[in-house]
This record gives sequence, C-alpha cells and structure tokens, in this order.
Amino acid sequence: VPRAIITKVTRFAAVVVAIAVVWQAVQSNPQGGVSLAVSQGVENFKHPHWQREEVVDGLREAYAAQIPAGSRVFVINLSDRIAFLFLAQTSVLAQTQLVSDRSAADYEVELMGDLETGFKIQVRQLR
Amino acid sequence: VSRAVDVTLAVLLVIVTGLPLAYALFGRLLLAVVLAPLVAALTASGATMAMLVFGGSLRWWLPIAFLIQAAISLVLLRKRGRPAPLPSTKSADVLWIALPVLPLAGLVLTSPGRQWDSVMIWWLHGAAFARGADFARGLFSSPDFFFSHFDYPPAMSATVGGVLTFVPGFDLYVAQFVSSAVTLSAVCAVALAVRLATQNVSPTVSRIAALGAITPVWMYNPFGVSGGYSDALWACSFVGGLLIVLLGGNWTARPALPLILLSVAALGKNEGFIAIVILALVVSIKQRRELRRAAMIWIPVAAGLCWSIMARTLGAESDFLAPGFAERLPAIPVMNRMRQIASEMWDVGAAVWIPAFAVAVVCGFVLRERRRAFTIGTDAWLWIVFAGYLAALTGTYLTTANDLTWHLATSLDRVVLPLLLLATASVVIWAAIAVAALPRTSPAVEVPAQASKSARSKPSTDGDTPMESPELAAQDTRALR
Repeated sequence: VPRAIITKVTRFAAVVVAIAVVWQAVQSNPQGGVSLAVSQGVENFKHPHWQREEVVDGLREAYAAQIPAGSRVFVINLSDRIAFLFLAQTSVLAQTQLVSDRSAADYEVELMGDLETGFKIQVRQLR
Repeated sequence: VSRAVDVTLAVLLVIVTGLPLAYALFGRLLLAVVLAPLVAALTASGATMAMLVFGGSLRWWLPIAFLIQAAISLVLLRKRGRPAPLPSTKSADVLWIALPVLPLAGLVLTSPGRQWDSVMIWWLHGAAFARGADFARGLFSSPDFFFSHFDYPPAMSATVGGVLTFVPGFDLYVAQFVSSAVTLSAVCAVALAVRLATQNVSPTVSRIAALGAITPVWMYNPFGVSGGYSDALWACSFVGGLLIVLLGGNWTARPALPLILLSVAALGKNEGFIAIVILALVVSIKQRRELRRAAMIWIPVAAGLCWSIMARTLGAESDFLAPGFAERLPAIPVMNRMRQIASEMWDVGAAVWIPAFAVAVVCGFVLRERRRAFTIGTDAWLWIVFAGYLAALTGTYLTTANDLTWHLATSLDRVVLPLLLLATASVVIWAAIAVAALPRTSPAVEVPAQASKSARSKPSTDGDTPMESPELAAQDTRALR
C-alpha cells in the first residue's frame, strides 16, 4: 500500500477517534458528562440552593442519607457554619467538648425523625 | 445581597492575591487574571504552612506572603521590564478558552453545595486554618477529626481558609465560589498547555484541540468543579504542567508556569504528590544529559514533601499508611482484588484510554515527521507517566485497608481524572497534527532533521514571542526526542 494512502487514512482516523473520545465526555450519561452538568445546572437553577438558609437546612439536605434517625449531632460553634458541624458518636462527646472549649459557644443538637418524614433538629446551648 | 457581596469579594480577593506575580511572570493581563487563582493557592498554602509551623494567624501570615510575592513581582518587573509574553496566549486565545468555560463556571450557582468531601474535608480544613494556628494544630492530631484526613495537602483548603479569614461568616457559598475559581483556573491551564504545545499548528485547530482536551473534567462528576472537590484542581494542574514539560520543547527556559502548576498539583491532594514524584523521575530520565537544568522539576516534589512531613509531625495520620499496613500485606487476596480493580478501571477508562493509546501508537509510526515539523515533543513520555500513575493507583487499591468495593465505588471516578485528561490530550494533539496544514516554510516531513530548526526560524503566525531563547535552541532539539 503506498505510504501516502497510509498517511491519509491515519490522519483521518486520528481525527475521527479524537472526536469520538471527546464526545464520550460531552454526552450525558448516568454518571456525568458536560451536557448532563449543564442540563442539571439549568434544572437546579429553578430552585437555587443558595437561596436556602440556615445550617439546619443544610444539615438535613446534605446528611440525610448518612444520619440514622435519632442520631446526636454536635455543633461546636453554630456561627461557624462550615467547619465545626459534624456527626459524633456519644462516646466521643468528651473529646468533642474538649475541642469546643476553644470556641465561643457550645451547642448540642438532637436530630429526630427519619428519611421519610424528614428531620427535626433541636439546638440546645450547653453553657 | 450580603451574600452576593461576600462571594464577589471572595473571588476578587483570590484574583488580586495572585495577580502581581502572575502578571510579572506571564506578561499578559488577561492571562494573568485567568491564572492568578493558582498563584493565590500557592501563596495561601505557603502562608498556611508558615502559620502552622511558627504559630499565629492567617490574618498576619497571608499579608506577609502577599507582600513577599508582590516584592518578587516588582523586582522581576524592574529587572526585566515588561516580561516577554508566553506564546499563543494573546487575549483571543485566552478568551477562546475562558468563554466556553464560563457557562460551566456558572454551575457554581446551581450545583449541590454541600457534598461530603467538600464540607467535611476541604472547607472544614479551610475554616480550621482561618481560626489560627493553635486551633488548627489541635485538629491534626484529634481522633475526632480523623474522618477529615488532616494529612490531605492544603492548596484548596488554604485558599478557602485565607478568604474566610478576611470575609467573615464561614459561609459555605463563599467557600464554594473560592473552590470553583481556583479549580476553573486549573481547567483553563490544561487548555492553555495544549494551545502552547500546538502553537505551530493553525490557531483555530489548536484552540479547538485545547477545548477538547478539558471535556473529561465533567465526564464522571458533573459538579466536580463547582461542588468543592479537589480532584479536578490537582488533576488539571498536573496535566497542564506535564504537557508543558514533556511536549513543549525547552521548558527550562521559562519554567514558571509548569512549576506553578505542578506545585499546585503536589499540594492539591496526596495522589497529586505521588503523580508529581512519578513525573519528576520520568523528566530526570528524559533529560538525563542536562540534569542540572531539569533538577528544578523536583521543586514541586519538595513542596509536597514539606507538607507531608509537617502534617505527620502535627499528628495527622494517613489512612493508607495507618498502623498495620505492613502486617496486612501478606494477607491480601492479590488475584481477586486485581480482577475487581481491572474490571472497574475498564468500565471507567477503557472507552477513552484504548482508542487514545491506539492512535498514539499508530500515529507515532506514521505521522512522526509531521509531529516534528510542528515541533511537538513525542508523547511516549506522556504514556510512560500514564502507566506509572495507573500502576500507583492499582497498588493503592490493592493494599487498601478499606472494603475494596466501597473504596472503588467512592473514589475511582475521581482519581482516574488525570488519566482521562492525559489520554484525551494525547489524542486531540494527534488530531491537530493530522488535520493542520504543514508550515510552508518548513518542509520538515521531507527533511526531518531540519524540522525543529526551520519551524523555529519561521516568523510566528500570530506575532508572539517564541517560548525559548535562541541560545537555548540547540537543547530544544534534544528535548523534542
């Protein structure tokens, strides 16, 4: 086969494969894809998460799948909305309070409810 | 309104922090704005490490780091005047890359804001850093916070922490916007690296290839960029730096951009540090005849190593190297695990890796001279790094202390991102080589030995300054092999 034909076929194939590879990433699939990101983004825009307020809402939204009903959740400092909000087992309460001694205020949060009905969260100031 | 002001301030703070040095190094304002968040991430990482070692607060250390950075920028500008701009990074090039990415940047407004890794690892670390050295140090060794992996490197969290220090309220959305700004900067860096590597093909072809190269970022994790994960940050920084170092000719003549990118990768995640070590070894072998120049590839490794030593000194434990690692090795069912790992990796990667590798092999034989005519380095080294990182990933899963099924399900789609980006970059660059017209003044296909020389002597098509200085041109030919 003449080398010129091999070169032309290879050039054509390289372009086709590159388009196919990029298309894999662009198209929507169950796990992702650029187009899925855009379409989900547009859908989510109708109910933007940044309009919702309160740590408690965020807690329910983010951790509903992980938090068994009746779990105890300790918030070291409620005003620190990112950092010091975490699940803890009852057995580590002592250490939790040790850490929280350094912050301005301590709270205990009781989480009640289940995945079906949603969660109700009570915040109680410890001291 | 208050939240809108906060997030605007936060993003401006990130850009302004990195802008002086980015401009002094890269010489174009728009390019500097796009890459400034990465410089800011390094500045914040340095300030955070200094704070953890010497004590105090980011409220002091961050301005000190910024002043040092600004002083370096002034010295550079006064010594050299306006820096020679990087080639193929004119406003049109930057806009071509940044504008299509902007709608995806808008996803930060709509993506789920609270995901486990972002809240419980990256932003939590950031908030801890914002509270000062004493508080942050306490969390490194606290058994309560083992779940948060305080051994993870600080590029993302230090940037978030730096902003939270000056934008009060510990607001999740501020953290989300800051994370997104830094990550999008890294995504643009991959496209710019492809544009730089293909600077001698026509601008349109090169720019399309550049955009194609970044699509895998959203392939498995649509909110990986805007949701606050660190994987896209380190993967894009790593791949961008790698493309410049391995494909861009004589990178040691202008090492700032690749070193910044690779340092962000090394300080981005533990996998990033491993990948940087592999790349440094490969570059040292590739450039073994000019090791003194190539030695600077170990600077990012040193940065990652500093963090690793510091985090362990403060008491952070890696779940990978946790006590019992050596004891459990002999009991690992190697063949069973290998089968499971190979099967899962095949599912997430084969559709990209196999065709891209096939193109690289076939084109490596058939289109080798065309590649040289465009002065693009061989991508054999890229695939060697690919193999090295793939082996490291396999080893990690093989020896994991966690349940393998759980471990693969919760992480594989994120940690393979650099492999997807590398394979895609390889194939789009080959496509650009295949589709572009050869330079008329460079009949390199017929006379390969003169290829790089003639391509270099050709006036740049868009009037840019060549990346290499003439005195280093002779080394460039060696670098391309």
